[in-house]
Amino acid sequence: MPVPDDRDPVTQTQELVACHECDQLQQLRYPPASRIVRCCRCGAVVYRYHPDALNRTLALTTASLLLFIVANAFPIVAIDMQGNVLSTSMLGAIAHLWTTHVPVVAIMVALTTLVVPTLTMLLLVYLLTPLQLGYRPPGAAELLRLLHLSRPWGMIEVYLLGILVSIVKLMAYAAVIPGPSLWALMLLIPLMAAMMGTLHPDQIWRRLEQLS
Amino acid sequence: MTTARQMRLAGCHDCGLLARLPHEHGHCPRCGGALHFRKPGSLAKTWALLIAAMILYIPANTLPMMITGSIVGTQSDTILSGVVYLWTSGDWPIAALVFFASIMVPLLKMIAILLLLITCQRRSRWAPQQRTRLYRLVEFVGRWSMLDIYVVTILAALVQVQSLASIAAGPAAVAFAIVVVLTMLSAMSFDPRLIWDPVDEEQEIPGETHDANH
Repeated sequence: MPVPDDRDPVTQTQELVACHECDQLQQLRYPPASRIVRCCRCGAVVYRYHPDALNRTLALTTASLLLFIVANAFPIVAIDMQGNVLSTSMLGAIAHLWTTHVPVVAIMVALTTLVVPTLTMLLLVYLLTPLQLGYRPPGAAELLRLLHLSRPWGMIEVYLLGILVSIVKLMAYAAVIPGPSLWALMLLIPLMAAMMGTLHPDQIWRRLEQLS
Repeated sequence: MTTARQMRLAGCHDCGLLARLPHEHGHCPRCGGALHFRKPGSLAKTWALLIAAMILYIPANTLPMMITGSIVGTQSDTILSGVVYLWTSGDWPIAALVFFASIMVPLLKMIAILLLLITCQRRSRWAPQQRTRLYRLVEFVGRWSMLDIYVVTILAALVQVQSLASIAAGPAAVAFAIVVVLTMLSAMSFDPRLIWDPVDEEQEIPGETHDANH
């Protein structure tokens, strides 16, 4: 299925845009000439544009999803304390918090490192696959809004930093053995950053409008 | 310089579409989200969430974050004493990182939101560009305060009773997790366009009443 070239000068249009941070009205050309278009007054990002954004995001999401499964299926780290080997996985750590009477923290950790990242990736695959094939997925508008709402709550990159800090703290007492999950997370973070970087929901909305 | 509100247009919070809004409230024709010129009750909501976060910041820093048990006895560490311990044991880069993420970021974030709230409430026209940048920074760094929560999560799961020592999350972890959530919600409910409203009103021609009801 050929992807329509958005940068065709014939289809390029002038449109009125309001900055979401300072409400400044401005006339902008769409598709824009540069990757990032900033507000002329406050510098907020108005557009993030990539001609092949949907395709790239889909590819990066699929790769991230596979790595995320690996990250959850294996232990993150193991410690060897005088021959006593203990290990934990992402799910194991959450389950432990839940059973040791800090359910509020367990819910927060589960939401930010498990539920939201999984939801983000599944939503993107669900929305982008049909769009790339040329039809509109059912419930697209509601799901896109859900994606927009949940976005700030995914904190996998902070989690990775937390794991690294814990490893440094533990090294004083025990031999630390990094698990497969840690390597998967290290690969996952740049992929997810690229996934979020290429994607601007605006482009999905425009594609949806073209199809309806 | 014209703003969308002066032209009776509103940008959708959810999908970014610019739509005509004849009344105060409406729905986005593209995504169906609620549409308004400014987030409703933005300042009040931001204040409420910020004050709640400030109150909880006290137990988050005074109660123990991590309880370490060993044959010698149990030891409770607050966030700050944990940082001091890391510093004295020679891990100063990690100590600096934890200090920055768990103490400085939440504190500076609350001060920044407070500054934004006070200046917007007084309809200040002072440095709108810098204040918008401050708001963007606050939104960006907030998530990194979760660092200490994750560290405790992993340490508690790894160092358990079977071994000679055990680590458990203390009550401060609950307070701290809630502080992070509240400050994030507070930043989200703040509408940065309020920073620019006094600037735009000043530029309007005197006698012209675009927004008499505001």
